Amino acid sequence: MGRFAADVSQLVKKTEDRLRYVALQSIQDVMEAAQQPQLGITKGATSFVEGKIPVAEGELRGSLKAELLGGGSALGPDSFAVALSGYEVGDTMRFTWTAKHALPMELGFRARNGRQVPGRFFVTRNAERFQSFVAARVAEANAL
Amino acid sequence: MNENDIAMTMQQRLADANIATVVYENQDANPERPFLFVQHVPVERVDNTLAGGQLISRGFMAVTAVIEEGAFASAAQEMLDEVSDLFPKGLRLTITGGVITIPRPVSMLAGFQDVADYRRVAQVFYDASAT
Repeated sequence: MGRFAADVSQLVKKTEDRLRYVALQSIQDVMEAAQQPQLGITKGATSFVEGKIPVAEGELRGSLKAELLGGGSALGPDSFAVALSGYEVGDTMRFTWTAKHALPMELGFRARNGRQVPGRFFVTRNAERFQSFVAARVAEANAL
Repeated sequence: MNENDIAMTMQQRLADANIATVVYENQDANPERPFLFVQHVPVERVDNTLAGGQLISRGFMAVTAVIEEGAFASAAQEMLDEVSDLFPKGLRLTITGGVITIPRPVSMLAGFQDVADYRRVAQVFYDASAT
């Protein structure tokens, strides 16, 4: 009976470890994707892709605030890694780009010459890929 | 089935509804307000079959309602509500070599002021699969 209980306990621990691994890695994947930089048009770029954050002075990328609700927050381009260090399965995290131009950059705006500047969707596009990130990490965890 | 087929079919449906003037991505246009600015955003393309041939493309069409600053924001929302009615959940649109399905209700995002404009964005999500 003691052996059985120990086996179950070990199984539960292993499952919990895998859950945490998948959650941590998937959140890190989505945040790394959202923070992947591309040269801003004002800095000489002639084109852009959706899903990457535009970087001119680095203000937008550096304005990321990562919060582990009930467990503190961090500010900066890699703040998600700091906040993730305290993460346990079931915790809620919030990521906010606090620069004033974050929303126009995400959704699009009007340029000085009147043309419509398309949104970069560096948040939405990567958030929509979250399930794919999870699936890839689940496959990895199952192979461990 | 390719991304152009998906984009053109969805954008054509929007234009045919005559909700407002439609401005397309990379078009050098600055029309009278109000108007709709439309952008096609592919998110991912997957094929879970070993042999291939079952491509699924997922993404969204971003529709920005642009109105004059100072006017009631409800004018922008009314236009986007019409867009939402135009793309109900479950809608299927046939394209060459595939079908587009609208998998969920149109998402409505917060509005914001931009220079002398007010903008509000709706996202029309799609799943397109090869047939």
